[in-house]
Order: sequence, then structure tokens, then C-alpha cells
Amino acid sequence: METAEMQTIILNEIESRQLLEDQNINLNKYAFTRTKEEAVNQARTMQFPLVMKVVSPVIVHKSDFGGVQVGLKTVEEVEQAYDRIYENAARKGVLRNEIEGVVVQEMIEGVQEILVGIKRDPIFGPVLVIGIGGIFVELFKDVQLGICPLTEEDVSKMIEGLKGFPLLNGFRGRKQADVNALISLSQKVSAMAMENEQIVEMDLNPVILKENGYGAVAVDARIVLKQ
Amino acid sequence: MESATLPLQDSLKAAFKPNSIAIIGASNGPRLGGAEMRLLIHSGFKGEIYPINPKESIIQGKQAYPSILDVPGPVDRASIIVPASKVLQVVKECGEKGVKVVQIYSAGFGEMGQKGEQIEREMVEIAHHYQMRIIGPNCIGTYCPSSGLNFTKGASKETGNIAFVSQSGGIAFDMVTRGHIMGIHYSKVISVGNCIDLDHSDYLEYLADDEETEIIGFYIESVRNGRKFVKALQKAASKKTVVILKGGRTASGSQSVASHTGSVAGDFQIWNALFKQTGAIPVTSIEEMLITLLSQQKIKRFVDKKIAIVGNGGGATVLATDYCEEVNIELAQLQPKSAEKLTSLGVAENGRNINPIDMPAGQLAAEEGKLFGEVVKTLCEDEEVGYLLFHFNLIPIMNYMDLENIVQKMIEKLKVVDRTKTNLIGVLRYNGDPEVENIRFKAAKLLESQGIPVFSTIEQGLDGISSVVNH
Repeated sequence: METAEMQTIILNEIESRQLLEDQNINLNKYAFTRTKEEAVNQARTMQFPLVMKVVSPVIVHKSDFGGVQVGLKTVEEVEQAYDRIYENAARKGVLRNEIEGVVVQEMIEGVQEILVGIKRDPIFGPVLVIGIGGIFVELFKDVQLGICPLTEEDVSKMIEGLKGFPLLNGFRGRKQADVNALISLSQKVSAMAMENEQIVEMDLNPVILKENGYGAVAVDARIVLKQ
Repeated sequence: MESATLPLQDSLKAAFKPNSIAIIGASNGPRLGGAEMRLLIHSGFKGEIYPINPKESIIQGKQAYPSILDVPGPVDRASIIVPASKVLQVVKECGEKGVKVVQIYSAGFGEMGQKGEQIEREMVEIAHHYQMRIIGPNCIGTYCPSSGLNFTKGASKETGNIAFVSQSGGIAFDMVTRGHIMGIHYSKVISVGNCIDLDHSDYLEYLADDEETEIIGFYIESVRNGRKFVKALQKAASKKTVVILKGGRTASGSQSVASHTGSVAGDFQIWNALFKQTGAIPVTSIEEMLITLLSQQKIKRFVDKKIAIVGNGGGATVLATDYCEEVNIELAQLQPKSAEKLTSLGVAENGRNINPIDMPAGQLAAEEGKLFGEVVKTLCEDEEVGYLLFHFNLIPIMNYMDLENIVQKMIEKLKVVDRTKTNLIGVLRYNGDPEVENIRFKAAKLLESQGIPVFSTIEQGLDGISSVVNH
């Protein structure tokens, strides 16, 4: 059993997004900004409502820090949200120079938030994780794992194996989610981990799964690389 | 890849069915080398046995040789039972001799840290140079009743369709000896130790094609090449039933806090994913392994057929009903004519006690089990029923009759059952009394001779049925 500590680097959202874009993984429109002016200018090019998120190497769970502001409908709200993010971070003891900036992005509505992730196991290699996503991942732990490489059928079985699968399948009048889009996104993520040995862990959380036929969009991402 | 050119089929054939064996470290004494040889002779091994020991000239009636290089004829398999410090030299001599496979019983390599690992690497290098394969080190031997290989007393001489591969010697003992008492029969059982050369994937690949084997059991602690193992398991599980007991399930590697994924994907979850993906059956204890193997060997799967239960003990019957639901097996809804018949026999009343059926001890034993026989017949002739679990709590029955006699009579009655349509599953319960134990054992052997699996508790019997129905 390997016990040697591995040196890893955690890519921030912007770096993670770049890797995912290279693989044609669907992401929402976003921009990284360093000043309030930049944030406002970028916001003007986007379709409201928007989301803003803090980018900092010292913050893992952004929403716990008040580092995520959602449902911003106007430019004024963007300005206020920008200040709030810095105030919230400061209150938690994060220094101003520990914050790299703020991401502004379009808010995506969908049927369900999903987690798609990778963990590289020292014995079996990349393991794909699909789960009911959002901030309750660790609480409900409704996830299915699969050892890569995986066929379309394997991934489909993983999704159907989720306790929360009915949420994607029209439970109590909900809209049917685009499960095929989730399968194809998951396949791209596993292919990425199979090709790139450096990838130790990946989180696409959440992936917004839209109504059937409208696709799946990753709105946050975190990738851990071996150095 | 070097390993692609190394022999596998021939080496493992030589491990299980050798024409000749050298026991390096054989002796006349009570230690492992002496025991190995005695067991081999006693178990009826028909090939040549060459004891190797420079200090003896005759061992257990056979000519001994100072080194394997002195043996006149060819040697297929060598069992190496010498101190760790001498193993490297012995492996080299085996290679020179042209031995196909060695099983190294000696331990004390991994524990020696880096130096031990260095020796392991050298052994593998030397073996491969001579196209020889290594099983072990740190193992207790090979059991194969069809060729007369054996590593323990209390092993069955009968061959069955189960192969078992164990990374622990102790668990290999348990499987063979406890299996024998429970009526489990093996094609082969092998203790594979540290797997420095031949590993789990190799054994899986061999057994997937082995004509003697339909069911493969594994005790695994660690796997070296995960990707190769997944492939081999996928192949084996698509052809045969594979049951895996994984040791160290909760030992989590360095758990990550850097991502959500890392925190929900521990070792335990990854192994479970592997089982699901390949169709291998996971078990979590030695008991569950034995129950699963016995059931997979003895119970046939009848699609869409349900279970019927009959026996003595009202409370036990209620608990059995609960347990069925917990292990996901369905009680049969009997046809009206079966229900009528049960009513006319006097066991059911007003549509109650139809399935499961509680028959008090006095009723079970009445007229030498005549009524029991009629009930069994009625249940088994019902189209819905594919599995009949009958349970006797022996102690209450003892109050009515001579236990040994009546149990044999009741077992006689089971002969009316058409076994191509209905599985019989027996449960013989008692309180641990040594006198009753003897009677129970005889009854169990009688049932076993008719191919009926016997369990000690109703729950075990239902677990067994569940393992067949739900996989």
C-alpha cells in the first residue's frame, strides 16, 4: 500500500474551467474579474440573473463563507454583491490579498443539481462519482461509483442506481431531466481522467441538469492535480 | 510486456494436478514439512513424491534427495518449506531443474522491509528466467481432492464445483474444514499468500476456464494491479459465479478534504462499485462466505418461483416471515387448491397458517412424519413454489419420540419431492447439547447425501436462498 504523501495542487475555478473547456464540457458563461468595475462591465455582457463567487485558494466551501451570491438581477445588485463577498470573507478572517478575485457568471435553472466527480484510486485508477449534488452532497451521500473505463450502459446504471433518481425521472410532476446529457458529460469527464494521469480528483459540483433535450451545464469546478 | 510470454495455464495445471511433487524441507518430524508429506501420502496422491532434505536419506518411507537437482525424474511442482534465508537459493535450483511451479510456504519476506522486498524481486526474476511461476510466499498449500493434494486433516475427499483462492492461510483452513462439515465440496482450494508473482488476476483467469469449477470464492486483502484485476474479474464473473470476501474494507486511504468527491469515495465504496460493476457477489464474513458457497452449489435458481416455509416454532415462523422481507425474498401465495388441501389435512384453518406453516413438534412427529410428508408434498406440487425451507427445532421433537429415528423418518418423506421443480433447504436447530449434536450431524449428513443443503438457523437458510434468488 502506498502511503507516501503525494504533492498536489488545487486548481481554482478559472483554471479548472479551462481544462474542462478543452474537453468540450458544457459550462455556463462566466468571467473572472479583479475589480468591481470589471465585474460590472462583464455583468453587462451577460444575461441576468447572475451569480458571483469568490476565488481564493484558502476557501474550499465557498458558500459556507458567504462567498456565493445568487439571483443578481441588476447591475446595482452586482455592485452590492461584490462588496458583500469581500465583507463576508473578511469577517471569516480571510485577508484581502488571499482573494484572487470574483467570478461573475450566468445563473442556470434546471431540474436538478448533480455532482460529477473523479477520484484516482491508487489501485484501480480513476473512479467516476455521480451523485445528487449541491451543498448537501456530504450529508446525504447519495452517490454511485464506477471504476473507469465505463461504458454508456455502466454510467446509465449508475444514474438509475441513485436513491434520488426519481428526481430526474418526473417524480411528482417534476420535469423529466436530460439524463442522456448527464451520461455524455460523465463520459467526457472519465475520458479526461483516463488520459490525464495528473488528475487526482475532480469536482463538477453542481452540474445543472436541465429539462430533457436542453442539456447539462457545469457551473462550478475544482480539479486537483499531482505535482 | 514480459508477463504476456510467461506460462499460466501449464503452471497452474502443474500446481493443482502435478505428475510429480518435490517437497523441499520434508522431514519425518512433526513440523510443516513432515505434515505436508504425510497429508499428501494419506490423501492418495498418485504421482511421484520426492522429499528433499540434505540431512535424511529416507523420509516417510521414500528415498530423500539432498537437493532438487539430485532428483532423477522431472518435477512439475515444488513445495518450498525452508527458512526464508534459504528460499532464494532453492528457487534458483528449482528453476534449473525445470520445475513448472513452486509454492513457497515460508514467510518472513515482507516483514523484512526493504531487504525482504529486494529478495522477493530477485526470486521473481530468477523464476521468470526459467519460465517458472511462483505461488506465495507465506502460504499453507493446495487442496485438490481429484488429484490428492491436501493441506489439512478434516478435508473432504469428494470433489465439488467450487474453487477457493485465499490470501490468508487461516481462512483457507476454515473453508476446507468447516466446508466439509457443512457439506461444501471443492474442486480446489489454494492459499496464495503475498502474490509476488502469480496474483489474483492470474488465478481468476485460470479458474474462469477451469472445467472442474463453476463457482469461484476469493478472500482478498490487497490487489497489486487494479486494472488487470477488474478485467479478469469481469471475464470470470460473466462465465461463472464469483463470491468475494474482502478483508480491510474500512481501511481508508488518505481521505481528501479538497473535494466533495474525495470525501464520498472511500475504499469501501470503491470495492462495492467494483462488485456491482462486475456482478461478483460480495460477502462480509467467513460465515456468509460458507453459506453463500453452499447455497450457490446446492440451490438451483428457478426464475419467478417463490418460497414456502414449514417447521416447528410459532415465534420462529413469525421471525422467518419478517426476515424474508429483509433479505428480499417473497413467500409464495399458494393456489386455492393447495390451501384447501392444507385445511383438509388439518394444518391450516380459516385461511390462516398457509405459508409459512407452523407445525408444532407433536404434529411434525405424528405417525412417523406422515402428516409432515403430506404437507411437504402439497407445498411442492404448488406451481408457485420453487424453494421449500423446512426447519426442525430438534429439542421439542425429542420430547415426543426417539429423535434419531423420527428425524430419519421425516427425511424419508422428502423423497416425494420432484427436485427438478423444487429446491429443498433444510434447517436443523438445537441448543448445543453434545448428545443432540451427534444426532443432528447424522441427520445433516443424510440430507447432504440427497443433495439438500443444511443450515443451523432459519436466517442462514434464508440468506442462502436470497443469495441465489437475488444474484
